[in-house]
Amino acid sequence: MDHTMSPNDLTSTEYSKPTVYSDEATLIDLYRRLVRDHDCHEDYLAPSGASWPRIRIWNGKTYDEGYVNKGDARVNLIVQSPAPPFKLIMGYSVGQEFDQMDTDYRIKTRLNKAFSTTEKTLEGISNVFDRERVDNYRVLMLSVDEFDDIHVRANKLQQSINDSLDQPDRTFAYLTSPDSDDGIDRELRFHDNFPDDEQTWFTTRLE
Amino acid sequence: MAQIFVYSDNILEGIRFVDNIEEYSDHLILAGEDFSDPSQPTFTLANSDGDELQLTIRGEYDYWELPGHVDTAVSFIGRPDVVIVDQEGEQIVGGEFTDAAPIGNMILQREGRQVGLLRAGFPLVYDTAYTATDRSGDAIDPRFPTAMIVLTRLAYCLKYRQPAFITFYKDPDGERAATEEYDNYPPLRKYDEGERYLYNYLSTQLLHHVHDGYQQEVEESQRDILYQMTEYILEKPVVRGNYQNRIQKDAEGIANTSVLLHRRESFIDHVIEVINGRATPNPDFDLTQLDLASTYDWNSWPHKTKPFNQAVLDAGLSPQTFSSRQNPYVIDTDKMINAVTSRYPALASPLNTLDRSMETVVITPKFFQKSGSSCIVKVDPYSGVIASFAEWLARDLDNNKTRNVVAYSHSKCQTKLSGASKLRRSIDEMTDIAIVSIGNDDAEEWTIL
Repeated sequence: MDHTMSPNDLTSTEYSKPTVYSDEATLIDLYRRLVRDHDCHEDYLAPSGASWPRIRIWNGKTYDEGYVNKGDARVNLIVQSPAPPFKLIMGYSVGQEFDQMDTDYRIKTRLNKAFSTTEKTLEGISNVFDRERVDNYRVLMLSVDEFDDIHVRANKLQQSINDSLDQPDRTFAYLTSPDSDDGIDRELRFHDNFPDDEQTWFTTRLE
Repeated sequence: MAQIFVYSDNILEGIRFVDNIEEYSDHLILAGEDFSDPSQPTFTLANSDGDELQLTIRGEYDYWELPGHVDTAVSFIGRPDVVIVDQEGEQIVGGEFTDAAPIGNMILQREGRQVGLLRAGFPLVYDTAYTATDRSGDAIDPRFPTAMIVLTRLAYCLKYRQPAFITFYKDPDGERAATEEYDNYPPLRKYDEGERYLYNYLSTQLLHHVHDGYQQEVEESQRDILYQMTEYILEKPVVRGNYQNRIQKDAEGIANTSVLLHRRESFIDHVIEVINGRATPNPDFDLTQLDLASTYDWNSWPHKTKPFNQAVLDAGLSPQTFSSRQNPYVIDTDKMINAVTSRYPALASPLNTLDRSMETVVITPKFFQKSGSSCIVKVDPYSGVIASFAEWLARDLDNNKTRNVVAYSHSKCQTKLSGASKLRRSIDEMTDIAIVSIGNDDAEEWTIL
């Protein structure tokens, strides 16, 4: 279609719905709820494929800053509670890897490398880990399109976190899906061994 | 409320754009935000007069049906960080917002997408740092963007009759490295103003597009940016060599640059008149031509040893360029064709398609590179390099073609160049011929891309 020959209305149905309900939506929703709606600090935010080199960590008074190279394994989101003991939440967009994550061991390797490389980078730029208590949490994020069932996907991701992906206890899944009223549905699922007394902090902010 | 749509390379670029308006603009504040649809968060911006805008951020271009002008800009050579349009898809502004200054091999990496914005009718902004650090060696060395990156934009302002701006901010690491390396650093600058200039321009441009009545504020912000741009290239460089300013160091062979030194106010006034539609470009301020009294004999190593270029030099020709650094060369087309085809007759057919009545710009990228046992395509930075030099040196103030453009690359290997790559698009859009010689030292094979 030659758009230049016909007037556009960017609020019309043709333009106002994304052709793909992408990883960006879940990433931005989680970021928004923790950072913009609550009091977490944003340390790093980069959708898959974006090259955002600046990474930082809140030390309680200011940010300690560093860099990640374009080709480095890294997570997509790092947010942090504002005061010690810090909750450091690192998020990874599962995306297209979801369907193969139980059968392709390379996905687990890639995912763990993203978390471990990011942790190492943060430890290299700040001594906050030596001075303060920092509790690390992992979140695996998934966007589910309107043709799929978010509950089924949530069950599967939760099971994979426990089993095939063998993630640490303090790991949870965060999923979103478009609903029929131009909003979104959300699912929050914890690792089976996620400490019960720590779940409330997340459920009050994310459910 | 007036609606504006920010299409972006990823959704983060759009959110950063809004956050930076909130942080730096004197004209707009963030009055509300709505993330109920996280695929396209919406922000309300307002000013003290009660004028409001609603900005909707739409992330990754691939995930949206793009309106015509956005599609034109995005599909030209590369993808800009943000492209902003009104509800009918009409152009407001587009730009690049970098986290690192353009230095070294990647100076021109982002040029293709910026030329694409201009050709699609968008005013252009490019936000970058005064300094960057080179971490390739043992030490962390400071590096500074070349004057060329500013001069091309001043030329674009006049050629496209619309803003083509670059703004500078302070990069803490780069400034620290520069201060440690050079005694006379930092220079006197309004260091912290660049972001304010940029976001004042962007916010007044948004306001003026949907509400009118902000022309004076738009032009004040344009003037601030043009002062910063010219200030940068008129600064005395701190690096080795006794240069009075960056133009002398980086682009001495460009004609009319003396107007920036001696008639800076007049130049800025003229650019303001042109980009706001009140004047046509004055040839006295044309920064697209070479000054033959100040050009340099092209002698760029290792490119001078490559077969095509070697044939030119061996014939006793004197290709000219605009500084002592690695740059493209300009040469008489007739003499070049004779020199090259007498040694390589196989090139007669493609070279004879060039217009012999005009000079030729020869750009020297390296399209292919051996990597272990495989051969890789070097899309970056060369899609941008070709776009920049072809746009700057082969088109005049009225954007008419004035020189042929030849891209010549020598490689030890060759592989398939994808039809969808931005390098392919840059070659197709910006060059007359792209020639590749393949071999260890000499040309064992020639390919026309």
